[in-house]
This record gives sequence, structure tokens and C-alpha cells, in this order.
Amino acid sequence: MKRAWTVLALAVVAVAWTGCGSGGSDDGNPSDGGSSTVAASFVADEPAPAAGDVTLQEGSKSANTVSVLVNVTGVNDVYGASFDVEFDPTKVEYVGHSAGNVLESGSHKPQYLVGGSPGNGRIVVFASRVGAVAGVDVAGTGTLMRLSFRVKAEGSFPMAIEVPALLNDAATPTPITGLTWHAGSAVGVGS
Amino acid sequence: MAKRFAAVWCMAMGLWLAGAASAGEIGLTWSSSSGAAGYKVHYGTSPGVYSKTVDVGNVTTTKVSGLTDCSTWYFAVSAYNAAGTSEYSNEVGSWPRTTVSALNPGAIKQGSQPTLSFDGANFDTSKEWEVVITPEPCVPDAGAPGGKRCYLYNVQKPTATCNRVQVVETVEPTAGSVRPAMVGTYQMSLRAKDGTRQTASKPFKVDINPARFDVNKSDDVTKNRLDGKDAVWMAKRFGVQEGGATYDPGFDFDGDGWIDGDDLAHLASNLGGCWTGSAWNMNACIANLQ
Repeated sequence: MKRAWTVLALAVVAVAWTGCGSGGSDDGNPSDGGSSTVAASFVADEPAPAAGDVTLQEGSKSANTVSVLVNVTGVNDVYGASFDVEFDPTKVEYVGHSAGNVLESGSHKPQYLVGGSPGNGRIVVFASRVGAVAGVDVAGTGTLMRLSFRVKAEGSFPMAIEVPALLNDAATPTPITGLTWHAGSAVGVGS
Repeated sequence: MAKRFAAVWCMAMGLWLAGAASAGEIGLTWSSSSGAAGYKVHYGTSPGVYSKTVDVGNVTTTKVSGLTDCSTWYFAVSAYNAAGTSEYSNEVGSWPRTTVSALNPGAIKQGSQPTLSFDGANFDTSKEWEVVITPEPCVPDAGAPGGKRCYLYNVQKPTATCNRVQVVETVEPTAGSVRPAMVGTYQMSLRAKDGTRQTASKPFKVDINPARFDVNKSDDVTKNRLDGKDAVWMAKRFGVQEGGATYDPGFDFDGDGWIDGDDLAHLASNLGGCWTGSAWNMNACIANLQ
């Protein structure tokens, strides 16, 4: 069963971004911009998440690369996460990942892995605390991890989250129920 | 004169089998006799009947070669000097040296029960053979027979013919929640239980079984697919050693008794793959997820 979380409004947003010609901030993070032909950004499907939402949000951006935050809002007992991100590999390229701040709670050192087939437009993401430690109660919004993408063309390119799960800290971690996942679109604007 | 001389020698000489280099050979050694100028080795395929004799000179050890495999050869030694030749020593009998030329298969995945064939020569069918594995594939277990539990073992006595010994070897986990055989290369040899024979060893490799990586089969989507759920389940048990309350051998992919980074690395390198029946393939998932 395929579960895509991209909203239809993205197309409108994309046009707006493309039309206004706005460039991304050049704050140096992420720095792996390569030879820029577009300015990259990210438009979230849900810019104002409520409790129980897991969302993709724009992080830092540099030239044609944008960092996408995987944010969790108002969820208790978060031990790990598992999900795929699907994108158009002809327009968007997966660059890398880095830690967030949710799973690090208590000076913990979690594990992050990204596999799958980035070249085919699908990454498989894993993030988790490690060992016999408790899950994290996220009051407000915290960042689970960051995913970086390079935008290769002008336009708005929806991403989809598939087979998503946040898992609790049960002896055999179990998906937390009642969550809503929201993705977003990578945007490239001519620079 | 010669007879008296020989009688003294007979009391002094003792003959034993010794190691030899290859098939078709038997090694002999004997105690020296004072006054001997040299020794002769007498041998044949019937007890007390020596159809062949070879003068080996003034040595007390030799290898007799050119022996027909898979039959018992009988040996005696006599000493000689200018005064004459002694009586025969005691007699020893043996098949030529047991050798192993090949072990097949030389590699097997965890979770199987292959029939191993030791091919070679002179597996004396009158003897009971056993497989010797080094390093010993066992862990201490006070509740197990002998105080240890093995994850690589044969389930029945080996069967021997002249040129082959076969044994069904269990490479855990074949069932249930048992510790998997630790991956790596072992040395296997054959030994006669009476201690008279020990072959050279051959390597035997235990390979990881990637089918075991799919630990989470909790739903239709993740079944037969390696994803973050599998990894989170493993992470929950991360750093646990066998004996620990949360140790689960199902996550100990490499069988080293720890659920650790080595195990997670196997998951990581296949993350996003779907099972094809023999491997995890990133491109095999499309049908599962649509």
C-alpha cells in the first residue's frame, strides 16, 4: 500500500516561488552546493504543524542545496523512526543527512542511516536511539534529523513520505499511532 | 652364534607406527639395538607373512611407500650386523596414512544442515571417525551437556568408506531462537576415536545468511523488506551480549554473541532492499510498495 502525503497546493506554491525569482540564503550550511544553476529551497506541506504531526520543513540552504528538517511536534515516547522519501531523481538529488536534536536528548548518541536507491529517487531512512534507553517526549517541535537535497532544475518537485513510522521504546518498538505525516516540495529557482 | 645374538636384539627392539607424509605410505619407528649395523623392514598384507623386505640402513625410523590404499599392511623389523640377522621385532599393522584431499562444500550459510564430504584415502572403515573443528564452535553453557553449547556440530556419526567420510553438519540456527553459527573460517579435520588417526585440516567457511536480516515482519509492507523498522528493532537491543536479558539471537547476524555495529552494518548496507530469494535488492521493492 502506497501512502503519499504530498498536498495538491504545492503546485501553486511552486509557481509562486519560481515566479518571484527569490534566491536562497547563502549561509554556508549546507555547503555542498556544487556548481549552482538554481537556488534551492523547500516548501512544507504543513508550515504550522500541530500536535501529532511529523513534517518536513525547510532548514538551511546554500546555492542549489537545501536541508530539509524532519520535525516532530507534540509526540511522546519517540524512540526511533522509519520512513522512505520519494522524489524525482531527474530533478532532485539526495546529498546526505545529519543529526537532529530529538533523539539526542540526554546526551544520547543515536544512530542514523539512509539507504535505498537515491539514484532512483527513493531513500530509506532510519533514525533511532540505541539500547535500553527511554523514548523522548517531544513537547512543542523538535528535529528528528536533517536530509539534504540538491535541486537540479527550476520548478517545484514534490516529495512523498512513504511507509512512515515513529516507534516507541517498548521492548519491541511499536509504531506510535495517531500521527499525521506531511511532506513538501523541493524548489529550484533560476539564479 | 647368530641366533643368540638375535635373541638379545628381539628383547630390545620395539616397533611402532609413526606419521607419514602422504597416502600410500606408512611411517615406522623402532628402538635401536646395540651392535646393530642396520635394519630391514619386512612387510606384507597378511599377518606374519612378509612378501617384501627393504634394507633401510642404520636408522630407527622410515617411511614405507608404494602401499596399496585401503588395506591393512603388516610390518616387522630385523637388525643385522656382521654376525648375522636378528629375529623379527613385534608386528604392527595398519592401513596407509589417512589423507584428506578435499572438503566439500567448503562454505555454507548459517541456518542449514549440509552433508559434508571429506574426500581422500584410507578412511579405515573399522574405526569410528569424528569431526574436529577449530576454533571450537561452542560457548559455555552450564545447562548444556558438557557445560557447553555448540552452534556448529554434526548430528550423527560420520559414515566412512575407503575414500570418503560424510557427515551431516548443523550450522545454526536451523530452528527456533538459538545462537547462530559465528561467521568465519574454521578448520575441519577427521580423527579416529581410538586416537590412532588424525588428518590434516581443511578450511570450512560459515557465511552469514542475509535472509535473517529481515527481523521485522510486523506488517505487509515491511515483510520481506529491510527498512528502518528492522533497524529500530535492532537498535533497541544494541550493545547487548549473549546472556543479557534482552539478547535475541535473531539480531546477532554474525553470531559473535553481541548485537553490535557489525550486525547493524549488515542491515545498513541492505537498507531499502527487498528479498529476491537469495539477496536484498533495492530494485525489487517497487511491487511491494505500490
